Amino acid sequence: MHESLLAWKNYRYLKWFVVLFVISVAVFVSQFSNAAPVSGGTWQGYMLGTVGALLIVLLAFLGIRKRRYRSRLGRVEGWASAHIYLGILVIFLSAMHSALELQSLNVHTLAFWLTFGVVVSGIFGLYVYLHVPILMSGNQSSGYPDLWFEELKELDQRILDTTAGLRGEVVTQILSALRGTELGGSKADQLFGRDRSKFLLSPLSRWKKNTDQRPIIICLSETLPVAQRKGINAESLAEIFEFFGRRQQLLRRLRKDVQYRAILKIWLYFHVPLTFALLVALAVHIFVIFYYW
Amino acid sequence: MQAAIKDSYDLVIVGAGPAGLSAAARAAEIDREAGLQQPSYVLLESADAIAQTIQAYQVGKHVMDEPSFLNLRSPIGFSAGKREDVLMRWDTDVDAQNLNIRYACEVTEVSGVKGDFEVRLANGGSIIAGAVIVAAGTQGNLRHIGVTHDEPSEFVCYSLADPRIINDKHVIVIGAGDSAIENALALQERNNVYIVNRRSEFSRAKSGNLNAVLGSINDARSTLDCYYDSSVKSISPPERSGEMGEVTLTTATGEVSIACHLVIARLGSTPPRARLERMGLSFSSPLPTALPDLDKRYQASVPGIYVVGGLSGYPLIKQAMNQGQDVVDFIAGNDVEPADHELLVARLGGLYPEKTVDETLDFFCSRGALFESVSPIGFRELMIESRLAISGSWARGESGRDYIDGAPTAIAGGHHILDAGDFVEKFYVVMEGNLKIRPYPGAPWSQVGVGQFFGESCLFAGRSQDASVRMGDDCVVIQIPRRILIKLALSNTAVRKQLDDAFVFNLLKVTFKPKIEDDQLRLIAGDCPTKVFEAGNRLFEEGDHGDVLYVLRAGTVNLLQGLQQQLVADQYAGELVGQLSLMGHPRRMYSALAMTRAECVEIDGQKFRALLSGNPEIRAALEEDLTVLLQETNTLYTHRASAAAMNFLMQNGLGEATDALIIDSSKCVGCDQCEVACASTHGGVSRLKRAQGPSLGRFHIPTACRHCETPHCMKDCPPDAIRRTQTGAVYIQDNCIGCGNCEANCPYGAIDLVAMSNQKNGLWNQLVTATQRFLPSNDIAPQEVPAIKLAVKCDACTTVAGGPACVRACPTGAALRLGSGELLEMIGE
Repeated sequence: MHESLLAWKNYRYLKWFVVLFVISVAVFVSQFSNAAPVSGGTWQGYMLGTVGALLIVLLAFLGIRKRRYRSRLGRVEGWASAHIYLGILVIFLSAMHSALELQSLNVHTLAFWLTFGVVVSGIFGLYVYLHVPILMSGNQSSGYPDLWFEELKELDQRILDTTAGLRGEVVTQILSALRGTELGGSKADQLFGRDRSKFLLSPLSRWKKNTDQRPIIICLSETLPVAQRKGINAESLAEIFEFFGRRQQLLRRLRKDVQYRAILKIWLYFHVPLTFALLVALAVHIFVIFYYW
Repeated sequence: MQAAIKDSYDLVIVGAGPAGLSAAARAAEIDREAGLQQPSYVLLESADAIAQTIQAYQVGKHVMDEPSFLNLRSPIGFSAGKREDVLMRWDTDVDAQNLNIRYACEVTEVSGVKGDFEVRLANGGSIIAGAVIVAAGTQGNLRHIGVTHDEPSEFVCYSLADPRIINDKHVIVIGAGDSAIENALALQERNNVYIVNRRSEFSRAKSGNLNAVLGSINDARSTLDCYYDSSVKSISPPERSGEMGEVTLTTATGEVSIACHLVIARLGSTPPRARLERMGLSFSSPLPTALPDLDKRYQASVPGIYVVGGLSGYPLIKQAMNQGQDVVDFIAGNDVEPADHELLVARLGGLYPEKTVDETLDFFCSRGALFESVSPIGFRELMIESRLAISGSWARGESGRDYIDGAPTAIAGGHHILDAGDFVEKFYVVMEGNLKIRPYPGAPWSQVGVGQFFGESCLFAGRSQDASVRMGDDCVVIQIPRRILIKLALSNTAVRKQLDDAFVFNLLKVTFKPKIEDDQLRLIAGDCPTKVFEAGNRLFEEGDHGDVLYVLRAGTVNLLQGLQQQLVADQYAGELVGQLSLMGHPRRMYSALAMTRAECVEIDGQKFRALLSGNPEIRAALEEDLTVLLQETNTLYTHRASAAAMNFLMQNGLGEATDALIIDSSKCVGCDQCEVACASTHGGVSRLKRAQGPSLGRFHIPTACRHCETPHCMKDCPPDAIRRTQTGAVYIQDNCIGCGNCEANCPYGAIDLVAMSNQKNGLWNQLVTATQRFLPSNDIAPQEVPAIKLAVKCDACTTVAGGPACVRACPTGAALRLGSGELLEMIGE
């Protein structure tokens, strides 16, 4: 397998990063010889700001490039590698450009803090991209979600078939547990792996939580020892008990998978809108600067 | 016994099948035109009704009218339909035309000369005949299974008249022809049926049957299953009638025993050769599949005796009926052109204005040894399916030549036909001029002259090859599609032998680049046996004393080492196996296991030395290759994880892949950009399913085409729509009819039947979707089913500039495309 995203083309963009970083620090430091105080208003400040703004636009262009599937303008992996290193560079450029004059709250500092937000969410995204796939593939060591869904469907069918030989409240419990099983849900539910499954103790009772299928399994484990005494088909019930164990395992794995997938996506819900906001703030910032020249 | 009848006719027709009926009807027509009161012909039928072969079809069988490109030419009507309808129509026509038929009249012998034959009958009578048409069909000698207990019995039978009387049984149908398929299809409605096919495809079946049987085999709900590449090893009949017996099969993956109530063998038939030989007719060869020598007017080696229909090598009804009519015209002296004449005129494109179509075909047939054993009728069929490529003065042509569909293609002299690294999908036979060929990069250019051929490798190994071929000047080349060549090689052992020999010759030439004369190499090649190892068998065991090496000509072989038989290397077509014991240590260091059916050319030490004699460079190159192999095997032997990964990839069919998509799941973020990229460059339908498919550690094999060495999808495509580019990409052309054969044949689920759409998933939809419920819904909403679905699969982005979109769109570099040779490299890292 070839190198990671960070090492694209033998760390091409790390090299770019280092070179650009050294140059921009040199430019920034050169201001200290000026009579004027260090700020975004010196020629060095303007230069750092211009380069930073151009980079921001270029970085935002990744969103377009990755959707141009016929584009021959480099591979998306290369773009992503550049995006990471140059994106991190942008926060240093912005800091030097602003000379950290961030005391007041206005459109200029807003642009800075948006840049900060975009870069931090991006770094989180990078962390997630580098680590979660490994966890995810570990979780998928035996099969993959489509296969688990198949198995789950089959399992549910077997539970249904076996339940046909039972009578009483336990039937309600089993069937309602199947019907009440939830996976996924809102983004937050997915992200935190929340399980909103529920089941009924009896036909007239209210829905009870069935988190991780634990309550139904407890319920069945209480019924099984008294099954023979109560005239319930213990053999079928024992089988169903076992099926629910397998079901619990599958659902855990699926929920983990859903959660990983949510984590892999959640940062984009910050990164992308913040980027749009940044582009707007940046445009206003530049307009205001030149308007009140 | 009837009293001896002695009478005399101009024409005696033997056999009242489609060919015989058609001949008799045409003879009756000629009689009527001549105003004769008494028939000049008689039609002799051994049974008591017409068309015994079709009578023996099962009730309700659909009779096909293949080949579809041919028009019917007969006074007797025929079109595709139910067996009963076809027979009823013939009966009606026979009555209406008042044909002179004698039933229960078996011919035992024909003697005499043209104009004065004596046709002797089993009932003691005899008939004097001016000419004899033998249209007796081939049903006389049914082929048997060829193992003990294969004689017809309650357990084993060779025909099936009415499948409706067999219910709730386990039945094994042996054979891959139309009758076997039809029996299996009819039986599966009420029984469990296994169909046993000796080959990996139903190459002899008519397209209608083909679609039906493949549809059924691949329908999980159906009770029909198929064993491909399988043959019957033994039969043990039940001890008591009505119980189950057992049939043991040799399959590609080992032996399988199946319990069953009934075995139906439909293995076709051999021509009743002995009877024809008693008439003095000669045959093309001593092989059991040989056909009688016939000229293009169907006249046998005895003047005055004509053979048509199945006996002449053409078993299809329409062709037989056309032949029946034509042969009577020929005998009557009417010089008619056969029904396929116009098609051939187009194919030949008037290249030889001085020659008639027949003369041109004869001329082609006489160029070189390849077509020597092909019957004129067989060659006609081959030419109809092939195309000519022409260059130089042939292409400039005379004025007024019409360029119509199927006419010769003009290719400039020197133009590349094939380059090294290309896959071969056609077979080229030179008829005029010569092709220029370079057997491997760096070799000198040589010529493929008149009668010689190139491209036999397409029959054997589905890997890219090393030769470059260019069109010569003033050249005429027949380009035969792979499918047709396979058909020819399967039915004509003499052709197969020549192709085999040529293949081994070229294999040795490319592998050893020997510095010996071609003639000498040809001798060595002819003396190297080809051994076939079925999947799961071993070429040799570790520790054996080895004195032979193998050149792998098709298939994949794994080398295993140590007590745990750890996988240490994978060898593919064109590579050597077992060379170490000839070059280094005489004991085998590894065991060699055939992963797929492996065809190997065996070379012993003596031949090996002859091939290398006076060639120190190639010896050094082979030694170097061996050093690399040893290092590789050591790497895998000492890295358990790598070996496990390799094993996993092999188990999942990557051994036969030439270009597979692999996902490094330790990098995959599940963004599905690969799928979206695929869909948006391919009409809105992704040809890969990222989330599906097996995984081991970080290797994930998504469901997508691997562009197999020998593509499973390419067998049995009725419109021949699946092609392979010269770079090896297997793709589906626009003439797909959506039959689903390829989808069914692909073992990797890489082909889908879809209704194409151009809907795009917008950015907004991709980013903002409120809640997702991942559990599959149980309610099946009625969906609108589009009228026509077509097969789609990965085409390796041959039409997309910049290469595979999936790989280019992956933001983290998780998606990789790998050829089989690159697997080790990937794992080694």
